[in-house]
Amino acid sequence: MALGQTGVVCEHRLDPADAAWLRAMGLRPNARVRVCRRGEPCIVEVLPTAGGDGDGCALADCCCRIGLARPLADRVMVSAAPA
Amino acid sequence: MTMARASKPVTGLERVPPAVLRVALLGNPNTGKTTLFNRLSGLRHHTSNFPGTTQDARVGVMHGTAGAVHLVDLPGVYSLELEQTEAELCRRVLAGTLAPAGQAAVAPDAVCIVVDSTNLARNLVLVGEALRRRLPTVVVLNMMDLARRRGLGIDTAVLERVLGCRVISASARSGEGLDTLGVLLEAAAVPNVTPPGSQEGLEDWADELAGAASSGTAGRSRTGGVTDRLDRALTHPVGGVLVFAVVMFALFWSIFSLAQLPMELIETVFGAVSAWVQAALPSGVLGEFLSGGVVNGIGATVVFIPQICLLFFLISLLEDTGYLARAAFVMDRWLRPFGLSGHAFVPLLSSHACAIPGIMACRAVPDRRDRLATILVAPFMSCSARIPVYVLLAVVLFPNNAVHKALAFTGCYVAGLLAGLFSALLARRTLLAGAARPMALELPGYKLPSVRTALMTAYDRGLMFLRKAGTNILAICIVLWWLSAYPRSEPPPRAAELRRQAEVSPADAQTLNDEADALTARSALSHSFAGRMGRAVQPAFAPLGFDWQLTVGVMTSFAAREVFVSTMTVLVTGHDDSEGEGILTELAGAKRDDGVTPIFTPATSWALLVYYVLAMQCLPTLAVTAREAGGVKWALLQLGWMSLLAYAGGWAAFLIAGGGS
Repeated sequence: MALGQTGVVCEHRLDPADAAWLRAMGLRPNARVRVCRRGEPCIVEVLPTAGGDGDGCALADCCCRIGLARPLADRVMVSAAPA
Repeated sequence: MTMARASKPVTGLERVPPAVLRVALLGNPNTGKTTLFNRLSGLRHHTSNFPGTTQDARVGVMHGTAGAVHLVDLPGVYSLELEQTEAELCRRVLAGTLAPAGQAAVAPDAVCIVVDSTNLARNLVLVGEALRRRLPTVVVLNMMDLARRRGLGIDTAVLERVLGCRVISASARSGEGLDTLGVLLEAAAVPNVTPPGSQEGLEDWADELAGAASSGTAGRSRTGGVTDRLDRALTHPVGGVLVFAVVMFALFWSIFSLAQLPMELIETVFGAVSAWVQAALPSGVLGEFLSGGVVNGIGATVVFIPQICLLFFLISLLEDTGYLARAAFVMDRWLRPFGLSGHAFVPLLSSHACAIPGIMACRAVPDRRDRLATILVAPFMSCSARIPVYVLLAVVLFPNNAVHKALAFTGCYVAGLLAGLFSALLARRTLLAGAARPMALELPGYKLPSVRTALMTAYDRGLMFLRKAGTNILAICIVLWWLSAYPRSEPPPRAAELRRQAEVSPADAQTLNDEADALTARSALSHSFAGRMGRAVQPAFAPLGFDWQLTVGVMTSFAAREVFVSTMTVLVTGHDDSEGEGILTELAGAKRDDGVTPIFTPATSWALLVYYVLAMQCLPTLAVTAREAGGVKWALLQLGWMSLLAYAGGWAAFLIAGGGS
């Protein structure tokens, strides 16, 4: 995904502990994310699903930012939202 | 924007508050829970632990209308359901099967859940999990000032209706909205709602509730652009490392330079007290014990306090800015091949000042195996206590070459680091098998740090060090003093003769008496238990070229490395003025019992240098390892492995330097 692009977490190939950890941090299936940094580390902003308007969301500042080491980021599949 | 409070109390199972209300503080990491705890309890708190765990238990007291309110600061967790030490601890405290040391294990009278107002949906998942526990609950929407600045509004009435408990909006940093918290906690009732049981159901419930209770401006995040740019710069493979190097240099420069004055002051005060005790009491065992054992022992403990407080103060400031989370990622890619995570870097760097705060800083490493590996290798980093030994041996090996001395010094630091990384790799391939857990970390927003929180952290850590490690260090110092001072022996005949000469020759009395004192001290140490043990153990160190005097130096410095130079000074010159001018030269030229062979031959000096780079030689560190790692076995493993490496390395260095020929 390109820098700044948003998408939806569709699947992952993580071990259960890592999956539970990411899920608890907000990176769960169907979570909307925006790519803030690619590579090592990969940084994504988890956008709230409530009040979403397709581009950003109603509460654009109401989100959290998660850094992922590459081995983890490589196992999280995100489908890009249409531009 | 609406932030209305419910006009009437939420209904629920009303109750009469007990005389002492026990409240558990629960919340996600980075929600300002600790800031709230500090704000509510101030200095009226103490740190113990949860029995059977290495987790700190911070218990504070705030005044309610009906009496004292005891606050227990639980570790920050994203979910109570995670298979994680911190989550399990929270579950047990809420279930009433675990309580801070000294308190009865019963369920808390109320739960105060701290929520980050700027990240409501995710935080509400934890609220839902807590509500399932059916405990009287109050929810604090923290950081509302920040939320307002971002144009966010939260309707507390909606939240109260759905959650079935009281909800207040507040700012722990400014104290806004906290006036009524005590009253609300005393009146807290068991919520009359039960959130969905499944994780998916709970997440949907939290999303819907956050959407219903929140209002705000539409559009792209206004802080996102700046934060994105900062994140990219601070985690850049090259730029990020450079920034990190500068920040860490500034951190450690501050620790060494700012701590210098208070440390000198502490040493001066304890030196004066020791002298006063010696002068005030009649000469004898009691005076020597109090002066040499107790006062000097306490002084040796307290002298570390400025460094420890400064380290934790500065780390707390850095953490509060949001930078430390980014720095962890910078180092993660360097440390991961050795089985360590990025979280390990600050503890390892801290260990260059002193391994004790470094090991204590390992609490920030979330994964247990990563944390244990970091604790085990932290003492390989060259701490400040090794410096006197490095200086002495550099002078012995390269008396006239400053460049070679500097290279030897640098080599010691590099060798320690490499030994630590190698040991970590070995540990992760054997005992703590498995790769370092790839990092996934929430990156909190950038903000100005709270000096108040940093001061409280420094105070807390300093007090904890004094209470726990201090008792161990004091005990060690007393034992070491006793071993070096007993059994008493008669002064050597030469000393008696010098004193007689001093009586008849007043002009030279000072010099003669000093010489007699030196001979007496050397003889006393030689005949002491420590001296006898040195002679008995010397054959074990013979392969490294150590004579009995070096063996005594190594043995007495088993408690603390820096003791080596002062012990050698006493043995060689008879006094412990290790700061004296020319003392290093005097030590460098000292001879063995045959009067011909130097104590410090080049081969022996190399062996000794390698030995001190790798050896544990610090009992207080072992005590802290046992406590932080959760068992004496880890301390024994650390001692055994480092001693083995040190001995083998010293032996190899001795042979390579031509000592065997």
